[in-house]
Amino acid sequence: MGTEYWGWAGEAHLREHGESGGAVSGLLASVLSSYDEVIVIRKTGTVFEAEVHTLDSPQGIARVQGALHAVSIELSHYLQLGRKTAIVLKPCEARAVIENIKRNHVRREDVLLIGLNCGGTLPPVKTKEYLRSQFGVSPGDIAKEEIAKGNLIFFTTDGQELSRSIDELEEAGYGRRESCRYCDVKIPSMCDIACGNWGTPAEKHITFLEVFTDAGAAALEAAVDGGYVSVSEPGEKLAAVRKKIEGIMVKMAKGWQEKMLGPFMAMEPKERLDAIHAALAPCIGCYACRKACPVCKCGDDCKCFQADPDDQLPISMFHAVRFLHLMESCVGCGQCSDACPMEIPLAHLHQLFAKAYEGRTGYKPGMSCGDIPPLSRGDFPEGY
Amino acid sequence: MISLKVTNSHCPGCSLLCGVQMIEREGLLDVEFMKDCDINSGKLCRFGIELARYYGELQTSALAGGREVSYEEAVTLAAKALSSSRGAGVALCTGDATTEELYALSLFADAAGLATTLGLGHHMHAVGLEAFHKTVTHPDVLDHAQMIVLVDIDPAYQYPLLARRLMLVREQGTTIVSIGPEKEHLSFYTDARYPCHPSRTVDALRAFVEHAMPHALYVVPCGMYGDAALTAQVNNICAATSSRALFVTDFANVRGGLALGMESLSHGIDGLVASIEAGDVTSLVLVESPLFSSYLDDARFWAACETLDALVVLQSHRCEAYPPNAIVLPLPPFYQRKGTLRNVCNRRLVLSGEAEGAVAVLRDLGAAMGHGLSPFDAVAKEARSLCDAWYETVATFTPVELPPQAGVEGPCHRYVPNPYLVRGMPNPRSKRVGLDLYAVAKGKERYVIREDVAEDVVFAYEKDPRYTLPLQPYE
Amino acid sequence: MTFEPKIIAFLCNWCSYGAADMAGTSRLQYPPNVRIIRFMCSGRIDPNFVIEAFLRGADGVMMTGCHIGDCHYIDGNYKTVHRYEFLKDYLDTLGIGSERLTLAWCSAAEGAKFAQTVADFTEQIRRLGPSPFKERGQ
Repeated sequence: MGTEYWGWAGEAHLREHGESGGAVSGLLASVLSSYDEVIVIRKTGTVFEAEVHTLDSPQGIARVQGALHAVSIELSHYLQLGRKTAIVLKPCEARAVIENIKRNHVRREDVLLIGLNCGGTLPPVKTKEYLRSQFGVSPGDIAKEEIAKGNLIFFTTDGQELSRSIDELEEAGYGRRESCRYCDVKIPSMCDIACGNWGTPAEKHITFLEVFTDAGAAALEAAVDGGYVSVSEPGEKLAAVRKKIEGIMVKMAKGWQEKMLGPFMAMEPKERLDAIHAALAPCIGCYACRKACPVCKCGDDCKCFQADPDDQLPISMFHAVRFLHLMESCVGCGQCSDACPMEIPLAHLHQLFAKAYEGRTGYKPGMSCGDIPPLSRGDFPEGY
Repeated sequence: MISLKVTNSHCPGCSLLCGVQMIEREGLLDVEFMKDCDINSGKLCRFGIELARYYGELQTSALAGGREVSYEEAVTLAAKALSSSRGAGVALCTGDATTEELYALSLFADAAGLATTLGLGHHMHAVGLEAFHKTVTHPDVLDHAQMIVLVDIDPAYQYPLLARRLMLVREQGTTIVSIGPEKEHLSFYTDARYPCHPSRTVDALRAFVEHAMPHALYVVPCGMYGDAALTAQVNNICAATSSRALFVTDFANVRGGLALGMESLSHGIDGLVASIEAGDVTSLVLVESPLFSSYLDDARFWAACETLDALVVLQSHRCEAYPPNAIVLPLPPFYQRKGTLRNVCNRRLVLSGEAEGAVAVLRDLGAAMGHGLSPFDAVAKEARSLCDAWYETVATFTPVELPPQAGVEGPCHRYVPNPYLVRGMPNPRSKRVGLDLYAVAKGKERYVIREDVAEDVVFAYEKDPRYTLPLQPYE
Repeated sequence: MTFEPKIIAFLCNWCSYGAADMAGTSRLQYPPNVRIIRFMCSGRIDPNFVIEAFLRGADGVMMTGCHIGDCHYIDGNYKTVHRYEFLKDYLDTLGIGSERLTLAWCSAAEGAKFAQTVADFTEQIRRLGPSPFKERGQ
């Protein structure tokens, strides 16, 4: 549990144009003085188009987009060892960074993790198709999207507001990405600072900030001292509302876990093996899943990579080893499913393993740098 | 200052032109998935994943007479060689270029008195350019077809992102049928399969017409080594059943070139080599042509090229070696160029780089020879209006006479040239078989003959008794 | 034909291989179903080896090493324990079943224990039947 604030940008321009009062933009402007670079997502066109961007001066901060729900670029790929970086992340990306820190790909003291509360992201192509077919709106006419109170809301450039219940959408096969539906980390407590608009008065543009670490506290203090961000005590009632929103979201996610992973776990072992085998059968060995995976960083030396993909084994060693490695590190970001050209539900399969392990041991990847990955443990084993 | 540059681009691997973001970070190039791209939802095949490696093998310097020279010197030498050439000349492009570059090439060729062609492969002469014109279909043709017939194509292996589209349209209720040698992944997206030996695919196709729905869509691969008779047969079926055909090519922007009226090689690359050997063609301008590294009969091609008066190669991807008389002018890599592309579904796509690519090089070359070339924007405008006009014409298929089939055993289906092989990057999934066959094939004819291949290399259709049975759908 | 299990045993050089040796020199009878692969330390047994053994048709896999505290590399077998525990969950989730994997400590003097462990494990695998991978005819 961190220290909670309400915050907004000190500069009028950022306060106007930044999301939720521009506290994150203000924070980034301040952080630039003590970090080498800031990695963010920048909108390049419609709300579906964005690219990774590095900032090294306060110019252009207003163009930075915090929460583009229809963009799920994995930013943790862009961290480099030995460089002081501040990075704005969704919870899954933050968890991936933590997993990388555990494996010495990144140093904790080098990175400032600014987390964003996340209720889920949308698959861009499917969402565009939905907009066209259900609302008759061209995706280019969307000025802003938002997920609020269980609804997905689109604001068009001519001021229309199109809204649908997320549950309804997801029943129809649209809505959030599948991995987001059952993701149960909504507030990134592994970050230095978690930001979001949950728990803020609706009529005011402010950001709810929760500071978890000393580095986060120092960054925020510097921002306040420099006049980049202003903070106040949060309203107690609304802070409780934030917790409540998180609770509802997590409960929903658990429901989805039951729905999507439950049937797999309920199978007989033999059936499950057959199901996994059948799911992997279309694999064409392109390695896109490995390329997209934010925790898989071994490079060409990885054990999964040394297996001959044409080994004719019932499940290729490539997948078998990846299941093993990701059982202790899968953060459930869904990038592998997104990248698979044969539409194999890889994220489901990896989560099946990770959640089974989590269920038995309580080890949840990417939550704390202090957790030792189970496969790297060498401490005295109790009970042997 | 830490540099990070993102370029929205399209993969040059095949005519699907999947969207991809190229990221340059401190001198390192990497690929980022472009998830908002309607064509592929950001998904990429092995070639796309390895694009950074493909772009890493660049032709960076100008060459003449086997040694590095300055760009200006190479341009002067090339202009001199082209002007002094005795006989006819050919300007050939594979289609790995923007529409603007292709148009600039045809403008340059007109001025220099060369014939322009697209290096599509030896089998398009069977039906001629007309067939390609008549494949004009509206965008998203795959999504609207009621029945899709895959003819001797292995989408999961050759065009994985096409396979994905097939899987998706099948979920929408489209019937998908396959004719040709059995392939590994076909069962995931076909409703019926008519397996047959490669040499009997044409007959199988003829027999299939009986069951064919009208208004079907025939998907046919159209690489450098396709089968002429097959293409002609598809053409005839389309004419008879008012169906359409989707010729999937290994090169990026073939559609753009055809729309500009560039000819397909009238007798294939073989024909071109024969004309060079006969002395009919004495100068050759190659733009983005992988012929020196991937044309199987390259020893003959190489020897023919050495007899040319002028051999000018505009190339971005490095070939291992060039004939000694080649004058090589480097081009920027595909993703750095600006311009437009047309993909297999006739969508107009934009490359958002900054370099003019071959347009600039051809302009310099033209200037050295005494002809001018308009500025880029003017070229782009003209090219676009020509393209649009072509796409507005509605064409129908007319039957053609079937050309004789190649009298050899037929290509092993495992060795179907695909983006990986055409661009010198073997697919790791079939690394063993593919490379063995590639090595065998490179030294021999383009068709692999059983006796030439080691015992342990399996021709997939040999293994399966089904190929000896009469034609009928199974399972 | 009765089912004869195929079992891969990963043995450490110093203790359990010694135990197997002891079993042999003591003329102890144990089932011939076990194929022994020797490692310098049970801590070298990469989980991949176990998985590959199953994928390549093993019905059961044994991991054996020195007793805790007796490892010649001091704490190599601590790692073995953690990997074993992890692999059990993995095999359960994959559907092979953790009962096809066993961990046993045998010192170089425990020839009889080694023979008994092999006999018991073989019996266990015989009861379980062929590995599910085998049933698909691989």
